[in-house]
Amino acid sequence: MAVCFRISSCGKLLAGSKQWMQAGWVPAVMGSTSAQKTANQMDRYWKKNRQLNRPLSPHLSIYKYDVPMVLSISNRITASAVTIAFYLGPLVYLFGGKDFAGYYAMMQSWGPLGHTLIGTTKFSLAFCFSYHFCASIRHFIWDIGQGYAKPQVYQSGYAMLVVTLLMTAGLMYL
Amino acid sequence: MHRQGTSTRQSRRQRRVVSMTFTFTEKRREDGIFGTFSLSRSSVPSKTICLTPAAASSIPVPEYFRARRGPYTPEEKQGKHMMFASTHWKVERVLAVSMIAIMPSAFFFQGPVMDFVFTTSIFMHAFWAFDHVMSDYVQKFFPPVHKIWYLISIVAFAGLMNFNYNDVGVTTAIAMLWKLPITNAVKIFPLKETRGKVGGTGVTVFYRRRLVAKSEAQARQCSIEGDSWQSQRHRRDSVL
Repeated sequence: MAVCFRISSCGKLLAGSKQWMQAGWVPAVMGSTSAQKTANQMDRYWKKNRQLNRPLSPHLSIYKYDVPMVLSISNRITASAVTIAFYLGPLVYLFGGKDFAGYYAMMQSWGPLGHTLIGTTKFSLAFCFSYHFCASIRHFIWDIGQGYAKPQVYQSGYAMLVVTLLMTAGLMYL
Repeated sequence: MHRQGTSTRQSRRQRRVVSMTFTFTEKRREDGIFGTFSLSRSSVPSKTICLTPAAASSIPVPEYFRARRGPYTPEEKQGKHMMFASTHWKVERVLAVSMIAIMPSAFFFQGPVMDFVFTTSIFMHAFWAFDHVMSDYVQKFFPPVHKIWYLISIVAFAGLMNFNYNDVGVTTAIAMLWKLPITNAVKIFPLKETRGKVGGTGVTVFYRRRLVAKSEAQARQCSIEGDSWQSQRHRRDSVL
């Protein structure tokens, strides 16, 4: 139905040039449901975009970043980091050929560079875990339905950052 | 193209937009199907950084990896699932809330039961969550990513269960790994403290002995007995 309206309105604007009718495209399924018609329309739109080589509008590069946005995407980034670390462990263990005592001895025999790497990894994991922990609790507060007012969003965000830093320090000290 | 003496609103908009340069193709817009639509915005400042090339296929991308906007129909979207998506969402939240309790208790209690609970909860949470990340960013370019992630996670879960059953177990492993020295010279717990002066400055420092496993067998014994400083004190003379 929407397609029919489009065709009639464009007929008035195009005053004679019916190139689109001569282009030869026809809806793929004739007696289809409205969902399939919409799907066809979307498909045609994207194919046309590609054919005309239209550039993509700038989005991430121009939008002004504010604190809640950065905190939200950081939650996802830290979660992905912890996930990748958690999955790399067993994969290295399965395909590495040593048992845990072997890897432990190997890590103990590393020189200063290796231990610095261990320290860096430890700090990154501690920070990512703590940040994701606190940001998720903030998310649960939103899931309950509280804390959506703008000042509350900012205040809970800053409180969450403070707790994250404290938790990271605590985990590093252990 | 930059106008002098623009209004405050326009200058604010110009400051907000870092760079926007549209390079127009030769084809006239009026030939489009959906009528005339002018894209000429002379109020846009013409900074020269062009982040989106005019020809989107300047780097040839295979057709398969282009973004899809499907699934389109309700049948495609539903799939064949055991439960409603909202119920699955509820299960995910229940698991995540339970992890708030599991994490501190993994710190206090180690052991095989805690291993299993800790491992399985983190694993399921990570699996579902990373699956959602894939759905948001990757699926439109490469739909089979869900199957690949499923296979990888099956292998990882097998490795985790093997580790918990046939090796030390993740809680003990994390406890041991956390005790590794992060610099070469300092151990977390002191073995033998000696006091001395550094360079005549009168500053008192503690020197700590370094314990390094001389062989794998010794490391295995270390891991069996637990990494306590009492057990190391007994072995100190034979080791160092």
